[in-house]
Amino acid sequence: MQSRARTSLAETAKKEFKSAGIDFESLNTFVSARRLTLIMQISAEPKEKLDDIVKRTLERILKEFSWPKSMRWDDSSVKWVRPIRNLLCVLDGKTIPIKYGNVVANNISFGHRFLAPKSFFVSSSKDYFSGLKKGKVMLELEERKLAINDQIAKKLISLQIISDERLLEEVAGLVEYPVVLLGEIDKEFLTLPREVIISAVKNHQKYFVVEGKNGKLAPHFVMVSNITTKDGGEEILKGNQRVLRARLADAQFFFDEDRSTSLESKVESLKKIIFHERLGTLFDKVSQIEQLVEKVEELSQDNFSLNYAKRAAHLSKADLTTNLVKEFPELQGTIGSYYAELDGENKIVAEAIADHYLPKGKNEKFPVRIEGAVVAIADKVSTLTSLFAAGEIPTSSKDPYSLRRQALGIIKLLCHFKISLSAPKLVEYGLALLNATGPEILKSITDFLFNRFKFFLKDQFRPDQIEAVLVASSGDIYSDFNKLVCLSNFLDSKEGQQTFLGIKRVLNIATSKNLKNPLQINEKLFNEHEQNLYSAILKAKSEIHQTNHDATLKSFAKLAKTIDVFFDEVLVMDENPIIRANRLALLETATKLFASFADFSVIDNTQRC
Amino acid sequence: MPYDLEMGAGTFHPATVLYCLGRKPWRCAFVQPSRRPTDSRFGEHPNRLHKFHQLQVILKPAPENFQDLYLKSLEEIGLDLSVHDIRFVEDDWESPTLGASGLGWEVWCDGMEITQFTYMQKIGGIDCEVVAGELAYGLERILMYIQNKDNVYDLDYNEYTDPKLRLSYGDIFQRAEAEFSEYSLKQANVEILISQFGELEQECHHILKSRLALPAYDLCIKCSHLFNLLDARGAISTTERAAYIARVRGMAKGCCETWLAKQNK
Repeated sequence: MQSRARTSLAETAKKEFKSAGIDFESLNTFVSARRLTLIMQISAEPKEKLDDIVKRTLERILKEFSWPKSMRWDDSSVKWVRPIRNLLCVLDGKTIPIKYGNVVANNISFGHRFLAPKSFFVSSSKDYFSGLKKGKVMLELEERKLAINDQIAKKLISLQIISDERLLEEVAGLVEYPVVLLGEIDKEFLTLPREVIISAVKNHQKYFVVEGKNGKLAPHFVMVSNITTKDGGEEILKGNQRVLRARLADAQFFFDEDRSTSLESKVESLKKIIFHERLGTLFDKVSQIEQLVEKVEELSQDNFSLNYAKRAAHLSKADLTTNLVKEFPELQGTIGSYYAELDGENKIVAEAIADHYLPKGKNEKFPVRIEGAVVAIADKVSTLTSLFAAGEIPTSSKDPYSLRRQALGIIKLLCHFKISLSAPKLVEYGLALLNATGPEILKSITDFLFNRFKFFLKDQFRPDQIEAVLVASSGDIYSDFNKLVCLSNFLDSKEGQQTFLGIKRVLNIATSKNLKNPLQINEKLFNEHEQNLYSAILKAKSEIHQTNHDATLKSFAKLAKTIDVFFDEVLVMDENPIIRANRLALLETATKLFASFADFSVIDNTQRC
Repeated sequence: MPYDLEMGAGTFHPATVLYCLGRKPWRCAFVQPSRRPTDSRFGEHPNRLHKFHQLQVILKPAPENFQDLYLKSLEEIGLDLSVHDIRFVEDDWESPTLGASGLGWEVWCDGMEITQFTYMQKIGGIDCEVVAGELAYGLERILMYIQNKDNVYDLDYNEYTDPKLRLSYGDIFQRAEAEFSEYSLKQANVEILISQFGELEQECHHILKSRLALPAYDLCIKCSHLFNLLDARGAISTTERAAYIARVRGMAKGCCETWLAKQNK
C-alpha cells in the first residue's frame, strides 16, 4: 500500500499543481508507516499570490486523495487512512496554515516514536531531512531496504536468508528505523514440513527464513525491529522467539492430531463439506476428478500411470479436512502430500497431490510429473463444468470462483505436457458426470475455454495466424498450439513464404468464384498439368499428419511448387464452361485440403517483408 | 463490570455495541472473559486459550492523544517501552456477526499481538455518529511480558511467596481449558446447538417486536456463542457458515436499531 500511496500522491500533486498553474522543477513523495511527505521545488512565480494557491491546492489534494479504505476519527468528519495528528507545511521558510478537518499546519515535525519523540522545527527541506536523520527516521523506502539487507549480510556468516523481495518491502514498510536481529528456532520443530515452518516464519510472523549453504532450513530466523535497545535487542528476541515457538507448537499439535488417522480415512469426511450448495459435497467432486482422470487417459492415450494418477485424485482433497490446512490454508495440497508419503503412498502419488493445484496465477511453476498434471487438469475441468452447471458463469466484471484462471490452467497444462486430446469431449464427459448434458452448456464452456486459449496465445503469436488455426480447430488445444508454433516458424522461412503465396493463389481464384453447387471432378478432361496437380493434391492429402504439423507443412510446400507450374501453364477461366468448371473443381479440392489445416485466407501478408 | 454471558470478545458487551452508537459521550473500562471455542487447545498451548481475559476500554469520542495515552498505559502496568519493540500494524477490523467495522491497528509487542486498537466506524450496520476509540488489551499475553513467562500456565496468579499458597494461572484454569476443549471440539451435541440457535433467534426477533433492545441483545449474544461452538465442532460448511453469520448479524442489527430508536426519542 505504501508504494501505491507514494505514486498516487505524486500523480495527484502533479495534476493539481499543473492545473493550478504552478510550474515546478522537482516533485518528490515519500511514505513511511507514520508519515506521508511531499517535497517540491516551484520554479516560476504565478501572477496570483503563491501562498494562497499552494494552500488551496494542498487542501484540495488532502480532500481528493483517496485511500482503498479510509476512516473518520473526530467530529470534523474528514476522512483519511488513519487519524492525521500533525500537518507540517512550509514554503520558503514560512508556515502555510493549511487546514484539514480540525488540524492546522505548523512548522514542526517529530522523530522516531520511541527513539526521538521530540519535535523539531522545519524551515526548509534540508531541515526536514536532517531533523529526521537525527530523529532516527529513514524516510525513504529504498534506504530502509538497503539498511536491512546490509545488516542481514553482517549478521549471517555461513548462513543465508531465503531472499524475498515482497517480504523485504513489507517489512521495510513497517519500520522507520530498521534494526535486524537474528533469532533462534527450537530444533525440535525442524522435523515439521519445511513449508509449514516457512509459512509460520514468513507469512505469519514476517520474519526471513534462514537456511544453510546446503539449502536445509537452519534453526534461525531473521527479524527486523524498529528500535535499538540498551540490551541489544535481547528482550525483543526473547519475545519474538516465544511467539514463533507458540506458532510452531500449534503446528506440531495439529500435525500430531492429523496424523492420528490416515489420509485415506479422511476422504470419507469430505462428505461433510459442501463444495457448492447446488453441487453436493467435496466427496462428490473427488469422484468426478477420479473419473475425469480416466477419461483423460482414454482420450489422450498418453503414457502415464493411471493407477498413480487415480490414487492421487482420490486423496487430492483429503487434506482439506486437516487441522494443519485449516491453520495454513495456503498449504493445501502440500500438507496432503506430506501425509500421503508418511502413510506409505508412492512418491509419485504424493507429488501429484501437492502439484494438482498448479499452475497458480502468474507463477509459472508446473507439476513435476505428468500424473500431477493429469489430476490438475481433471480437477480444473470438474470445477469449470460444475460451476457452469450451477449457473455460476463469470461475467466481464465478476469471476468469484476465478474460473478464468482455472481455464487458463487447463490450457497451460495441456500445452506444457503436450497432452493431445479433444477438449470438448472431455468437457462433455465432465458434464455427463453431473447429469448436466446439453449442447448449450457444452458450447458455453468450450467457448469460454477457447476464449481463454486465444488470450493465452495472443502474447506469443500474430492474431491473424491465431485466427487461421482456431477456425480449423478440432478442439485439441495442444495440437492447435503446436500447429501455431510450426506455422509461424514455417511462414518465417523462405520456403514457407513461397508456399503461402501458392496457397493464396489457389484461394483467390476459388473464393472469388464462389460456386454454389459442389463440383464434380472429371479426370478424363485433364491435361498434363491438371493431372499433375491433381496427383500432387492427392499425395499431399495422404501425407497430412494429425500430430506432426511440420510434416504436413512440408507436403504443402511440395504441392505449392506444382501449383506454381499449374498457374504458369494453365488458364483457369477457360472459355469452355465445362473445362472451366472442372478446373475450379480441381482447385476446390486443394482449398479444402488447406482449410483442413488452417484458414489461410485470414492470414495477412502485408505485415511481412 | 464484565458481562455475565459467554462472548467472543469485549466488543460484544452492550457497553461497546450499544453504547458506542448515538451521540452520547461514553467512557468505560472493564475486564471481559472472552470465549473462543475454536482456539481450544486442551490446555497444552503456551498462549492460545479457549477462554482468556480482555481489558476493554471505550473512549467516546476518541481523544486526540489516544495513542500516547495507550502507550502510557502500557508503561503504567510495568512494560518497559525502551527494551520492547512496539509496533502499530495497520488493521481493518471487522466483525461480520455484529455488522461492525473499524480502522486502527493491531498493536504488536515483540511480534505478539497484545492489543486491538480500533476507531469504531460502524456497528450493527449503522454508521457511528461519534467515533469511539476501543482498546482491547489481551491481559494474559501482556502479563507474559511483564512476568517474563514463556507459557501462560506459568503465570503467577497471586504473588504469594509461600509455595503452598502460591497459585499459577495453570492451577486455576488448566483443567477448565482441557475440559472445555474436549467439550467444544469433540463432545458438544450439534443437534442441540442447532435447535437452541433456532429457538433463541426466534425469541430474539419476537422480543424485538416489544422494543426491548437489551433482552433481545442478550439472545443475540447467546446465538453468537452457539454459532462459535458449531464452528469449533466443524459442523458447518463454508456456505452454511455465511448463512449463520448473516442470521446473527440480522439479530444484532435489529437490537442496535431498537436501542437507538428509544435513545434518540
